[in-house]
Formats: sequence, structure tokens, C-alpha cells
Amino acid sequence: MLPAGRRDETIDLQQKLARVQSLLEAARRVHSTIKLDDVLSGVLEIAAKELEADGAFFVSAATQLDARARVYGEVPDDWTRWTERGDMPGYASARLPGERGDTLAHLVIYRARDLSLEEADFLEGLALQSALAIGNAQHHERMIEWERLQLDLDAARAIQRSLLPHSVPDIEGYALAFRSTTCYEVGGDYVDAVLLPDGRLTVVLADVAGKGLASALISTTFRSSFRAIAGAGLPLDEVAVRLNQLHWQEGIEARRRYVTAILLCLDPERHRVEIVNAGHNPAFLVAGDERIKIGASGPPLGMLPARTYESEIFDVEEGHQILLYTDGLTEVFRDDEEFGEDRLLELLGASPMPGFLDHVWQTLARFAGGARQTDDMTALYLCRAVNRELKGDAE
Amino acid sequence: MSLTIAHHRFGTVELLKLSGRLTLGDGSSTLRSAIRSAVENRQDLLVDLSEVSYIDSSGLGELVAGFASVTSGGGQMKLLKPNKRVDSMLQITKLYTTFEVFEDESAGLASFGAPE
Repeated sequence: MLPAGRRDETIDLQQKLARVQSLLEAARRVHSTIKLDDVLSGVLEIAAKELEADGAFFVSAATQLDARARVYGEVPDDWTRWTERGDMPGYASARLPGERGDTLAHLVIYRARDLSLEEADFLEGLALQSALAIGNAQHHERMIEWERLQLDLDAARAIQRSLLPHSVPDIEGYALAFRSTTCYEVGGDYVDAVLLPDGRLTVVLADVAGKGLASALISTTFRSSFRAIAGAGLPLDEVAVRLNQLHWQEGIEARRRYVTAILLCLDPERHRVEIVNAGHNPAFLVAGDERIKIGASGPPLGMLPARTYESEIFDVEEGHQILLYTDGLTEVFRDDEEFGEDRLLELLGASPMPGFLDHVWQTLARFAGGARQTDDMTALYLCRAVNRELKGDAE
Repeated sequence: MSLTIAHHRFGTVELLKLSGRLTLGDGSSTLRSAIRSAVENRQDLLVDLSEVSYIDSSGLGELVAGFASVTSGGGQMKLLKPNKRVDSMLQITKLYTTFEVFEDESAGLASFGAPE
């Protein structure tokens, strides 16, 4: 028979071993699921049963743990008022460390006996394991949420693509082409063409401030306004005034996401084009030897109330070309060097070029040297054919 | 690098010296709260842009939104020393005619009238 002292030591060691084993078992159970609710309820059950407490709960400042399975067993009515420094008899607790050294939560048991050193160690160990398991479960939930958002964005992208003109209007003696690429799933650039009953064509090329989903939402409301107003056949400067006022009335968020736009109306019978630039990069008109930049006559749409705009009218002769573009084209960078307005203007030759926009996109890609696109890019190219050989340069 | 704003008060005029990037997110929200507190204190604003290294369309939107809220409260907001990038954005968007722009700090401050 062992002496009394050795016997105590043996019992002590056996108890420690039992604690380690139960902690291992607890860890196995806690890590056997990636469902947050299961992790939380599992941890509480283990804590209460192993430490022979009436109940257990989590107290957390982190909102992620709110409204979850946070209580197990019998706990006092005012358990939510438990605080770490409360010095409240009958409670025992351990801290769950967060991933950034912060505190994720506290694991608290109630109506606990005074815990032995081993029991306190067990509670600490359980808290550490549950912090890891909760972290994993939250990552998993975020990933599922991210996948759902990705599906939403894919759907939004499909809708936005479908809102672009389905076909390029066919206008005798003219060639019209446009191209639009976004840097995220959806973007804030917008291009559209509306054929009026009298044979004139109104087009718009617009850029909503910012990029991504927020700008895409604004661009669809802008599209509705444009389509409603443009169809009425009003003078273009009046169209701009109304678009500005409507957008401004949409409120503070819309005003921050103002719209720079160029409106253009082509009269193919009289071979005249009317252009209004509202705070947008200058449009380019190549008319024989002349290269004309058509700058803004008023601020971007929706930024300030009650602004006015002016139309500029040009005769369009055979071979004349017009290029509208968003700043995503001119602000393509190679290191610190911007592609810029002048280089873009130089791409326009003296006479119309079939597949011109392909040429522009290829040139920009070469310039950027394979760097990722950082802004939405949209352009519209209109030219009057020489002997009509250019008809159908649609993309 | 985000945006930092140094405040200097000259009577009823608050001079905001911006430095860093005036872009979507941090930059524009920093400017927004600075302008809001100036409006609450009924201060006129002179915004020094000389140390703004980059401005995007959202930053420009914030400047104009600030301008609108200052003027609708009966105050004035003017710009000081925009660099080339800011300047060309003001030109392209035709906002040059909306803002009063100064190249000289004391001329800008004096333009608000005599300090109290």
C-alpha cells in the first residue's frame, strides 16, 4: 500500500489526466462542426457538464454572436448583466481571444463550485478551443455569404449587360459602334442610343462617379430618366437641364454619385449633329484637317440644382468622325504615366477606320502592359461613311 | 496614404489644409465631417488643396457636396491653390465657374471680408 502522501499524488495525477482527456474530447467535439450554432451550444454543454455547473453562457461584445445559441442550462434571469470585473459569486469565466488580440467573448458558467486549478485550466483550455472553432465557423459563414453575394453580382452583371443597346441602330450613310468594359462585375458607365420617330438618333455616353455596384445602381436610374426624356424629342440642352434636375432631386447619395455625360443627336437627313457636354471629358470631332474638342458647357448632371447647358451644332460631312469616351480610357496608366487625351486623339486618323474601337482597346492594353483595368471603360464611335463603304461597323 | 486635414481659424473663416488622397472612402468621409462641423459652427471655409496628391470623382463630389451644404447654410466656401490634377478636373467638369479659386492664401482669406 502506498503511503498517504503518494496516494494523494496518484489521485491528483489521475484527476489531471482525466481533465486532459476530457479537454481533448471537448476539443474534438467542438471542432467536429463548422456550424456556428452547433459550436456555441456544444461548448456550453461541455462546460456546464464537465464542471458540474447549473448552466453556461457566452457574453460577447461582438455582434456576430448576438441572437445565437448563447445560453445552456439554468442561468439567472439577469445573466446578460454579467461583467468580467463584476466579482460576482457563483460565476466562473474564461476569455475567448479574438484573431486580432481582442476579446471575442467570455465563456461563463453559473453556480459553479470554487474551481480547482485543474478545473480552471480546463475552462481556459475550452475557451481557447472554442475561440478557434468559432473563428472557423465564422469564416465558413462568411464564405457562404460571399458566394451568395457573388451570385447576386453575377445576376446584376447579366442585367446590366442586357440594358446596353441590343443592336446598334442602322442609319443610312453612317457607322456607329460602341464598346464598354467594366473593371468590376458591374460598373458606372452607361451608353445608349434611342431612335426618334422622325429618324433622328439620340445617343448618350455617361460616367457615374465611383465604380462598382453603387454606381451601377445609379446608372440604371439614370438610364430610366434618359430613356423617358430622350424619347420626347426635346432640344438636347433642355434634355440635359431635366436630367440634371431629376438626378439632383434623387437626394444626397445620388448627388455624390453625379453623372458626367455627353448627349448627342444626329440628324442623318440634314447631316447635322448636336452635342451637349455635361461635365464630361471633351468629345472629339475629326472634320477633315480639323480636330475639334467639345468641352463641357455645364457641370456634371445631378451635382448642383438648376444648371443650364448649351448645345453645339456641327455639320457632318463624308468622312467626319466623332469619338465619345469615358475617362477610363485616358486614365490608363503605365507606371506613373497616363495614356492621356492627346494620345487618344492621335489614334483617330484623317478618315474613318473600320474596327476603330478594337484598335483603341488593343492600343490601351499594350500601353498598360498587361496591368489590371482600374476603371470602367466605355467609348462610342460615330462616322459618316465615305461612299458608304463603312456601313455596319457595329460591335 | 489617406487624407489629413489641418484646421486654422481666422475670425469667421476656417482654413482647411488638406493633404493626401481625396478619394472614395476615407478621404471623402474625412472631408465630409470637417465640412459638417464648419457648417455647424457657421464658419466660412477656405479649402487649401495644394497638398492633395490625388483626387478622384468621389473626392470631387465631396467638394461640391460640401460647397452646396455650406452655401445653403448661408456661408461661403472657396478653394485655394488646386494642383494640376485638381485644376484639370475642375476645368473638364466646368466646375471652375462654380468655385471661387485663389492662388494666394492672404488674398483668399481677405476675400471673405474683414475678420471680426
